[in-house]
Amino acid sequence: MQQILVWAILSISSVFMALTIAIVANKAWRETRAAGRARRRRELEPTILGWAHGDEKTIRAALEGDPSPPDRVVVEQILLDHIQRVRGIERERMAKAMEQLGFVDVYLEGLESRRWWRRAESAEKLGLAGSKRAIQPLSSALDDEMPEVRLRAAKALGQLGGVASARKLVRALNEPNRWSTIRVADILIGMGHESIHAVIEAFDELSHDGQLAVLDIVGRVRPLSATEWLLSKASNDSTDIRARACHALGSIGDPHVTPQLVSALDDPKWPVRAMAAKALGRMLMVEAVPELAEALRDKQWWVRHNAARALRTIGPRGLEALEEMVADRDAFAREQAVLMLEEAGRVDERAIELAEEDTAAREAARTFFERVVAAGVTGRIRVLAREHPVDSVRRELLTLLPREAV
Amino acid sequence: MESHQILVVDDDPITARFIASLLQEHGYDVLVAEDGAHALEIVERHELAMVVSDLVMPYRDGYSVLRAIRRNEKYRDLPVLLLSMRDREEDIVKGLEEGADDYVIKPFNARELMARIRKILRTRKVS
Amino acid sequence: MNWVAIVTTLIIGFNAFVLVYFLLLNTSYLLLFLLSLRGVFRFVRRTFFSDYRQIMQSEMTWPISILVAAHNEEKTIVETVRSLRMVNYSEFEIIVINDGSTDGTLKRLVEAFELSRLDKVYKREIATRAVRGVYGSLDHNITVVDKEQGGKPDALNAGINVSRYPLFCSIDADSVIEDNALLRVVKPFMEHPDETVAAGGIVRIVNGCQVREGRVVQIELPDKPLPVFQVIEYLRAFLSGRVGWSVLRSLLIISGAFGVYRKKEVIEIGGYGLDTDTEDLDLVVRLHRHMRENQRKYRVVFVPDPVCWTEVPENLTVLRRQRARWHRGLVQSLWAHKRILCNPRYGTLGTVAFPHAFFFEMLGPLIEVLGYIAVIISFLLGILNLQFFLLFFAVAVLYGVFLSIAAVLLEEISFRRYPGWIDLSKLIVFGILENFGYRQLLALFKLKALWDVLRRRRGWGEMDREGFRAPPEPAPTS
Repeated sequence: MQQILVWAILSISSVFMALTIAIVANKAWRETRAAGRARRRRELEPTILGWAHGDEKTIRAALEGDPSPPDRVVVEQILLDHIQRVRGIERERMAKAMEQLGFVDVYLEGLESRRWWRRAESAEKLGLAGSKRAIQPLSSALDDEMPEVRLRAAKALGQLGGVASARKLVRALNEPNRWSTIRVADILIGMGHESIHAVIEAFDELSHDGQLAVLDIVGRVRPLSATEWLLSKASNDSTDIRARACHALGSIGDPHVTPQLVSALDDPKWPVRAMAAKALGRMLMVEAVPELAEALRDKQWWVRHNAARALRTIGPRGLEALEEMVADRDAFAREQAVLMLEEAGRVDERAIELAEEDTAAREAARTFFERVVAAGVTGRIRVLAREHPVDSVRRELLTLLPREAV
Repeated sequence: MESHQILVVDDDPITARFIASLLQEHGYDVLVAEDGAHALEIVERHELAMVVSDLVMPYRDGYSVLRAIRRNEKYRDLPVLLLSMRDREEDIVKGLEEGADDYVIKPFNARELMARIRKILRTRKVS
Repeated sequence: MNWVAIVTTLIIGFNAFVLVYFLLLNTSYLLLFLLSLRGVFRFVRRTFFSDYRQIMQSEMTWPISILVAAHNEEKTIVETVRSLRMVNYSEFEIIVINDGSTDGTLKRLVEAFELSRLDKVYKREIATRAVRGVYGSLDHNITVVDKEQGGKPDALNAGINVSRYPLFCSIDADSVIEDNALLRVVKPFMEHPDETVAAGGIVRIVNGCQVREGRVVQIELPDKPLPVFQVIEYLRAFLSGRVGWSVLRSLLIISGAFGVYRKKEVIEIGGYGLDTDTEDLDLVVRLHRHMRENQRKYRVVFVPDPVCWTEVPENLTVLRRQRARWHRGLVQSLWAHKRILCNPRYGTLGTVAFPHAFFFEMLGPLIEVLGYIAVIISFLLGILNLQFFLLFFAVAVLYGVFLSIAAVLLEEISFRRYPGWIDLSKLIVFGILENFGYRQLLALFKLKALWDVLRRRRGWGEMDREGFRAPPEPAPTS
């Protein structure tokens, strides 16, 4: 028994010693390397950047020959760091440097590696290095077995302007993983109008979530030509698709679709109504003011809220409508109208009018506040009654407020 | 005496170094600050020709640096160019309305940035 | 047979039991560490190029409600909210629940963020104590719920009621989260949108670090020894504990200091429970039970990188109270759900996680202290084999040291939040010292808590939290 224990002690302590040594050695090695690299970086960075700003032909001339293997790592890092932060000629020159120094070849090889993270890393770097030679190999990497590699290849292709890859990419929207959906969508959006055709074409073959992503992409790229197609989706069977289609229509902003969006305000499902209201606000559709005011009576908070916000965005006519709704028969509409007027600073503006010389204007303001008090949403008025800089305004407001609220 | 010092403010050291090297290439002296508070200290202490500032930074963002500069009698006319990843209309308009002389979106084109900086410095000299 | 002989037999039997127990306990921790090692490796590899920037700007990211329960936090609350506002995330709202504060918490908030009283109508999905008022900022991103005091879980429930978004995140009022923490912890929800119901991040210790305007600007180990012990303890618990449990899909706890949950499921189980001392553990256990009993596929995930910095006790009294509370909470939750124990119907939860928590976490301190007592009795009876005892003690200590160092190793190969050499040596030295005193002290604290719960048998569920409590409700299983 004792022997076993002694044995255990010996083995655990040796493992412990080994661990400690490993930790210390690892840290020491890492830090020395990092310090060396930082020092070299300070020396090399100005040279490389100077080369990028200038017009010398080859990077080798600037570096006075091929960099040594440890220097190569530093040079690579400098180029990768800067290349993603600039555009234009400097970027092209740095891309050329990566080609000249053979980094692109290394990455192309890495794309064939057996370890998936090497492949992913290489794809990512190829996108940054911006070499047209990489388009073909990256396109094949779109069929990689690892989703991470596929995504990075797609991203790189997007950066290289490989629109042909859009079609393959769209399929990736079918993956249930939302994180990757977002990234794919982002890449497609980055491709702009050129991706739209592929995206729309693939719509019917996609999963529900994929279809929603397509609608979002269209809404972000905002191609006028997609209006008709979106309208057809605005009468889809699925609530979510109708809602997103309305949203996308709102961001494209073609005024011809106003009638359809207005009728979507009567959709049986509230998410559609909410999105239609939002879209009309975004498009600044003054024509839709009566219907938006009507939507303040909706059963759903989001619809009321979006409608009120839309009215506010539309401007003076919308605000007028909101003021009228303060006296509406519907309690929810009254509440929403007052809250939005408070948010728009309208209540404060009206309060100043209470001190106006002109009797008519003063009366109008008084009537407004009577209505607000009657609507039962008095938060801002109570604050103003306490803190308004003008005495007469404070007094006036106090008389208007019901006693228990004071 | 005409100042040739330009202050670059960016919390990302790589971008800051790039712009600095670009400006030095064109014969300017460059000071670098990594946050808004530090930037204002430098503005206070040095005779600057111009400030090139990032918009999104910890503690004090670009807007706040800009406002502080515009509010102070002493260096109210100091030209400020804002740099930002934010490419939405509202952000650009807000930047210009707050008093920026120009607004450049990241990632930027180095030659274009340089041209804009030179133009700002030229117009300031004339007025 | 005289009494000495009886006691001697008992002691020898007990010693044999301790030996087996010790072996099992440590094997389980070793396996857990190996699982974690793999988990951390995979995690680091998957995140070597992060796309958080793009994800953050995307409109498809799920919006989230951040809940902060505050009770008498007038000194820090404004700062907390301000730093939360700067967090990198596309769409979120901050909901502070003022749980019957008697100081100026509410007033400070109203003034700092220009809040006004909202006459808001919302659905009360979970019953809570009376809400006195809801205040909102003009941009609708900050909401303050002013309610009567009902304790932290009750406050969080009230926050869930007024929250707008499908995910909510609970954060302690005195904690600081790192810039990308929210994005990182939401990632599992987006990667497996149908399955993920809860996710938690790592909690690290802010004592000793420099904090400026709600951000940790310089990371350093604390100067006082007590918090340093806790740093090691936390590293061990999170990096080589929870990562492993998460891999096994039976993570039992997500720290209340920083966790994200899907609202739908939390509402289904009636929100946070009011009748335990640790509402965070209780919530996760109930989520597990609910999902397993309804045979739904689900995940409770630990993400080792999103960091929440939190303050830990610097003196023994506060530490004792904290640990006693945690242990009481553990006992209460395990007892309330004892049917899961060793029940294969609940999968790895019933066959691995619960037995581990029950026999090792909950009863561990008891066995440990009994072991020390047995040693003393054996010594008095003259039956102590000193050589054997010393060897055994050495193995135990070395093993403890090994586990601590292993956790430090995990940290060194993955996240490396402590950059200095001094910090590293301090971690190693304290990892050794921890086994002489600190560890035993914690065992005593926990034992005391165990005793407290046992003594008040009828009150398994009774809660005992200083000043932050709800009226006791009869426990379901007493």
